[in-house]
Amino acid sequence: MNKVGPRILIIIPAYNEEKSIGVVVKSILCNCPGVTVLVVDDGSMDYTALQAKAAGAKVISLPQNLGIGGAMQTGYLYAFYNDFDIAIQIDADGQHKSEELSKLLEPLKNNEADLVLGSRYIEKTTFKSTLGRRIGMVVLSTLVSVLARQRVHDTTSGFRAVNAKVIKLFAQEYSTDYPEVDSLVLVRKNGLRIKEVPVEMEQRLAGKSSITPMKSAYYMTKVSLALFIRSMR
Amino acid sequence: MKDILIFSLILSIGFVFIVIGLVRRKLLKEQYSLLWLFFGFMMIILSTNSVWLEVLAKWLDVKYAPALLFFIGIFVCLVLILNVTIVVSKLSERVVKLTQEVGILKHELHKEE
Repeated sequence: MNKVGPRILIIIPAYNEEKSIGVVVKSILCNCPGVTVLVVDDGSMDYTALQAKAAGAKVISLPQNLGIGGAMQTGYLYAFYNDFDIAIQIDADGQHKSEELSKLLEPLKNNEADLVLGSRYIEKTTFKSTLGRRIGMVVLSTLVSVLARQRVHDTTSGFRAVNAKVIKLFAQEYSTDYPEVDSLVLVRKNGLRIKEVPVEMEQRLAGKSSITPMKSAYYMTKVSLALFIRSMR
Repeated sequence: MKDILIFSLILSIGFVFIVIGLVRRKLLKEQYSLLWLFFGFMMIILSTNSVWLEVLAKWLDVKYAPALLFFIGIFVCLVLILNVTIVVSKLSERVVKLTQEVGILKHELHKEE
């Protein structure tokens, strides 16, 4: 990355991810020198903040747990306050590869899109999933595609890059509860462009998905409702 | 006058006084007391003018007029609870915003050390 290029902030929301956070931060700093890595520690009870700091990240420690959306938005607020040109969000569990970052950046630099989504499904990738999960993904994908009037495949991907316009939007408004899906419709409602690029993802290094099978039906209902309401605004 | 209506009247008057007392002692904000006061006065009016209640009951085909009081009471309770959830939503949004700003400020503070 050259010095006159855009200022890039990598946002990693983390809740009790001490096992993987260090590796994730180091891997990003190693693959993309020149970027700022910000870990938003969402009130973790373990050494997430210390591990992140030791690995070379800036750390914002929230005084209480806000959930993924609230933590994520903190990163966007920080990006907005500090005039970053590009913000990239990455999961703390290590399933997003930092080698793939340039794929997300390219469309932003060429001004082809305002939000670039790293997608598992757009091409044949090595990602594997359960049947139930796949069905959920298809339903959400269909719903978002209709409401956003644009085909979106991997709606729940937390691997995405946005430009300053979307940073400003997300700093003002971001769903606290189910941000990945909802934010796509929000972006489209504001007349901004989404582009999906295929990426490889790994099995997570540590920790569990925040979406367990038990909760998935409840999750689907909530997200669908939120999407309909969002599209009515 | 039916006993239930007298009972309802006493309760309603007491209720209005309690609400006013709470607002006076700043235990309840004025803006949130409005719905409660409205509810209290409505119950007073319905309890004293049992004719209105009877007419309304007949019109709605309710056999026992005071039952209508309960219906209205329960419905207004729902409205009040909805009002409370609106207030809670607003509050939780503010708490999120404050938490985020505190986090960012703490980060800025430690940077200068």
